[in-house]
Amino acid sequence: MLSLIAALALAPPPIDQPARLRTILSNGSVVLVEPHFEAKSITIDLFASSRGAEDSPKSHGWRHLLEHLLVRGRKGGVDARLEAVGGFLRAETLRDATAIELELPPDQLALGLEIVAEMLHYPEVTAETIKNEVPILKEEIAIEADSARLANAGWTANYAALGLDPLGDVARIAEATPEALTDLYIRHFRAPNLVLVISGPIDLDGGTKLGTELMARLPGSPVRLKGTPRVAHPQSKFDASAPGSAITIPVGPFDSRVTAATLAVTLVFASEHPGCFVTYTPSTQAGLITVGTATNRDLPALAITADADTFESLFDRGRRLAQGWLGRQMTDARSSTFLRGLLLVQSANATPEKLEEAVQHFTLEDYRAGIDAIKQGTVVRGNR
Amino acid sequence: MILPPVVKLLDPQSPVVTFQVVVPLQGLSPADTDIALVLGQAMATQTDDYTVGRVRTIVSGSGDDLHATLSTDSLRISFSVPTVDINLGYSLLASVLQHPDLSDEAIKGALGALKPRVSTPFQLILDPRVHDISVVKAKDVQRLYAILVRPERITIGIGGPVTPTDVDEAVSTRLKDWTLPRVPASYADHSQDRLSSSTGTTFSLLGLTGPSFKGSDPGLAAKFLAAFALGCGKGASVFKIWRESLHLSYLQTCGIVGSPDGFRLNAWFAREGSDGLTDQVEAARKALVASLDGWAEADRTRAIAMAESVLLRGLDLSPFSFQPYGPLSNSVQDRTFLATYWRAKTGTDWDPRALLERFKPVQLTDLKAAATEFLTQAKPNILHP
Repeated sequence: MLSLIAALALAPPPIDQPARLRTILSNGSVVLVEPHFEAKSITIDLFASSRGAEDSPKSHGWRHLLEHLLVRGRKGGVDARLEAVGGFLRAETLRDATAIELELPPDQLALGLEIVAEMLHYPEVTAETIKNEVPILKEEIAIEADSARLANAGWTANYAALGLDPLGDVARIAEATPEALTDLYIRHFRAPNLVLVISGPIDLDGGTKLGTELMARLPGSPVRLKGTPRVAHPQSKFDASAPGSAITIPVGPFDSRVTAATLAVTLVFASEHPGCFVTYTPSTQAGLITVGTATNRDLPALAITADADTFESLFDRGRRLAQGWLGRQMTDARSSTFLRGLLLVQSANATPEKLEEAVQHFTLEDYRAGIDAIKQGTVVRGNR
Repeated sequence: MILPPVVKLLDPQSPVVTFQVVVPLQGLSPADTDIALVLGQAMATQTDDYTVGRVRTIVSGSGDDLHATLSTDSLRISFSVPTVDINLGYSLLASVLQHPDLSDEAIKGALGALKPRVSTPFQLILDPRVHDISVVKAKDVQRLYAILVRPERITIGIGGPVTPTDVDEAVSTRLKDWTLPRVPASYADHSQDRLSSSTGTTFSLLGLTGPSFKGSDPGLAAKFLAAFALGCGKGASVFKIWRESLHLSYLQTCGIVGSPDGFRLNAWFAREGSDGLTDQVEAARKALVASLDGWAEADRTRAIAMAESVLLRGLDLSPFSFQPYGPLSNSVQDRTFLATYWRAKTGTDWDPRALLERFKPVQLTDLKAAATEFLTQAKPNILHP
């Protein structure tokens, strides 16, 4: 079996294969395999949607804690096994999903799948393991980037409890119990919430077979839990524990032309004011675009709204910048796989191509709507 | 006419062509380094041929911008263009080098853009120098440009879906008539470095900065491999000791930074709070040194495996921090910069495969010795909130 897996991973590119294959299993989980024969590594991403497992003010950060504990593995020593062969595991808790990513040498697909299988079982969590992890999470939260703090204040201002910072609140995290985390794991990692993406120098059919065999073992039904839809209730001003300032703009789904146009306007602003950042994580739900600065302390957020009127003449540049932004998200096999998986875990029909289409086809009218949205955005003022 | 060395990094899959320029700053006084910061900002804004708006439009489709960054030993100028605009890219490169706008007004604009900007704490732990640009004048910038930006001093790097012969021809055509200003006479400069002791934020950064060693150091392979063993991955010592055992931090690393005459190892961690930092950094050092006794063959092979993934497969976990923002990424921009920087720094081609081959014969005892030397000789570097 191991030699078969190694052979699949190193197989030459077959002729006339589709670019990728998505398989929806009867238990509701999804497997996507995308060969990239030019890639030098295999990437395996496991996404768990936050549908039905969203953070609440009471459980703020439990998903993040669960992520930390889960990646240690059931048997422990996940990192040691991976790094002995030059592999690496990353994990991230996002608002819409938890993402676990393995990057491996091309002949280590078997090891990667073995580790994913381990993540699909709840680890042994005790009060002691939680207690040990809390100080590390506390340090992680303490060093959160200023740009993220500004953006998170915008999420709170616009979406209140539905926009909680996925890093969490240390006091709430410390209140988590093994039982509560077990319950959370069951809701969060149920089969219909899961997407497995395998990409790299791998045979499409062989990779799909291995991926579906792994995911098919999970119990479940194809019924997806309903999440709580985000609805923006914007506030005009909000403070953040950060230097600098930002404008945060609630936007519609990722494939809306106005969303793409709003992103373009913010990128124009950032190109006119070096040192500014733009953050946006594509979501099938209502989302948020943030443009601001944490490193240019003389530039108030209000300059963005004042400048916005002058941006109409930079419509063409805005589209080029948005194309460039998308190009950077899709720059290599690993990053494009991540974006594809992140969208897929939110909706079976959400793809980067839809985002690309919105970027290619937004109109001047959409762009003007983006300018208006910025002018009505929430001003986040850093208070240090 | 002397042409600058041009490093080519071929990446047929890249949707952009990236242009990198490395200007080494060895021998520059602290005052001239401050001026170099303004020079970089001005060169990365507009030229006599391209207005700032035109520059921004040219680079806009690449997801990148024209920018300059000052690190411990060099000035980096960087931009990218979509592949279809490669000829515009060559022309912009030639213009940035030969005809930057260094007029009084342009320098005033550069100073205005730089003054409100602050370094991130993660920049300061790698390079705690604070630059004073309040007295910089246009004539200072013009003088430094004449000294630094010359074909015999700079190195150019061009990466993406390019053909080496086409690159050489395009660069040669555009730079062959470069009219160089006379090198100004040197003058006495007794300025001193000013160092920051604050992160400017709510957390502390505690670091250990090792002694400088040259690129020709026979122990370079062991020292570089020590950076992988100490800092790369979750099996690395800083993760296991500082994070997992001592619960000191969430973010900790050990990397390699440039120094005026070579390289240094640098290990650091971020920590909430401001109490007892001197004791903490010494306790962290002591614990890390003690952990070296437990290093086994598995630690050496893990370090080599991680180095192989970083050097040959592009694992985004590089210890090379030759830019102010921290480790270099696997982007075509950073890969091209690394190859260019290495050529400028060592006079040799960047050959990751050859570097990996130099790591393989490093014995466990040599690896421990390199790590011990670094940790015991390193100076503490503390940035308070």
